[in-house]
Amino acid sequence: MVELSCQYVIAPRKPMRMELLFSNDPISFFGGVNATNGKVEDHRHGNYCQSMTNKAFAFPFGKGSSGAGLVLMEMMRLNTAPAAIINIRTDPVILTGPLLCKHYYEQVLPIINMHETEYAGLAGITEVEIFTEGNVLHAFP
Amino acid sequence: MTDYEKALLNGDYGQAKQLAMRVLCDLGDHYGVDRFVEIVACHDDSTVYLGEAQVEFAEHLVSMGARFAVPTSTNACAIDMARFDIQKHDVALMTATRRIEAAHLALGAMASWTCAPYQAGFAPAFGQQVAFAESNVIAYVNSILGARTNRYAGPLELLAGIAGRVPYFGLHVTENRKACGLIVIGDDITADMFEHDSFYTLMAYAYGDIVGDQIWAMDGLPPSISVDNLKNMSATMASSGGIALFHLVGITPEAQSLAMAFQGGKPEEVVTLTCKDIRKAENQLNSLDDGEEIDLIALGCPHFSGAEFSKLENTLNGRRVHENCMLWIFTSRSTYGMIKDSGQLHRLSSLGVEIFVDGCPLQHPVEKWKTNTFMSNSGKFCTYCFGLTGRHPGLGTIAECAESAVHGKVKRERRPWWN
Repeated sequence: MVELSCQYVIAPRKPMRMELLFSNDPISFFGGVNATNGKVEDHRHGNYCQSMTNKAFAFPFGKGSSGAGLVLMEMMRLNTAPAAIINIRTDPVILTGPLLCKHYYEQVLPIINMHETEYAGLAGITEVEIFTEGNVLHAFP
Repeated sequence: MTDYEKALLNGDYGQAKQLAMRVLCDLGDHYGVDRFVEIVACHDDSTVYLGEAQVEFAEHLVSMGARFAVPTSTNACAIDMARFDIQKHDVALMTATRRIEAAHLALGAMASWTCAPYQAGFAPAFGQQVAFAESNVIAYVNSILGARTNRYAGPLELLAGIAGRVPYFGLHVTENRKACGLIVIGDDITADMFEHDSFYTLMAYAYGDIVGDQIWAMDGLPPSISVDNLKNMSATMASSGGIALFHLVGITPEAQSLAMAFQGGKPEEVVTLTCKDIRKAENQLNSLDDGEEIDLIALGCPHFSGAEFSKLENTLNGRRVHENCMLWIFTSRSTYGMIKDSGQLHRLSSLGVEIFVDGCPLQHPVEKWKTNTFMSNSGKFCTYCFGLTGRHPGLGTIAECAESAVHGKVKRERRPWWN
């Protein structure tokens, strides 16, 4: 197990351990993710055809269409959403879905930010454990 | 926060404004600000049907008695609302879209239904604070008009419009708008390339790929670049990257000089853009070779302008669209009204060109049409085409798309950057 420092933008309600889906490629949820099955559908993305459902989905930052908010909300509704999102930076486009879900569906989709060097430490990691407070997460190879 | 903002948060002005302020305060917390800035306009991008959640949410806002506090334009929706059947879209998609229409108009939005609102009378002025969604619109109003918005996404922009304000962070603040890196044009990029409309699209794709989600400047573009090329560049950069603001030196209002782009500072990084980058971008966006059969040529991503219609009509020059392919154009109700009045709509329609309003060329029922090959002039369309349709597209200029439509086969000139 490796301890990596991080910032909880939206912390989970209880500690969670889950599989990690990691990439160094930014993503557009609109046109890049299929909301009905939770799979990456952008052929240029490193996680092409892989599912993010119930996993911690790590990508450096969001790109592309601002439809991402609506796609993430729909994924929350259909239970295809990732269990957590890990970014180097989270822009309002990515933050929209989780913020709305918190206030509208009263569901929490944790968002975690990591410094670039710490983020690189997620490469080769298969599972992560995240906490309700503090500034670390646990990474399991 | 002002007393009024505290009252909004407290629910004194109703549940909807309270919900809006709760979400916006959370957003402000994330960016470490507790001040708000009033906005003068909102562009509503929660309009293309992407699932039941967005419809429910909009209807929920209506049931709470929400109204937009500022003038709000609507983005393109999924379909041509009146002619969805000709597009072979499902009745269910039409029904969902009509529910979106009813809810958003009840909130007080104007029925503009366009992803190029800045070409349909909804263009904020230099320096004005706005809350806009739709990635191309965000990039265009920040970079070409000099208005100020962050990358807001649906349905967050609805809440900004209802509250009439946003946290004072990111691109609303002057200091945060300066460029950190610089792209210069390499010596192997020659003057003749700037005559080719595809060059701007490819350069924009390369820019987004290099820059990611940062603010950079690019030097060396001709000031004579057309407004429609600026539109297509905004859309393409905001597809390959997370671009909210780019500085084209000598074009962007805030970057009339290099010193202005960097607010008196120096670039932290300089990258030279070469023909290799342009070729790499073209390999990402174009998968069709000259002479291949083409099923659908889709133009108007973002929505086609009056000038683009004229360019198309000039190239067609009275020749009909080939019976084996379709040429579909997507435009705003506003531009449609103009070409209808001028007779252009009638002339183009009689050549077999289908002209749709409201909708989005990326929402295409592939199975019903059995469409295998797509072609477009849009870098945005070509970026998302495979993800949304499962088909790799071809990229050409408007003139090449028109020639291809006449022949039913891809007609692309050899590009000088491959020499």
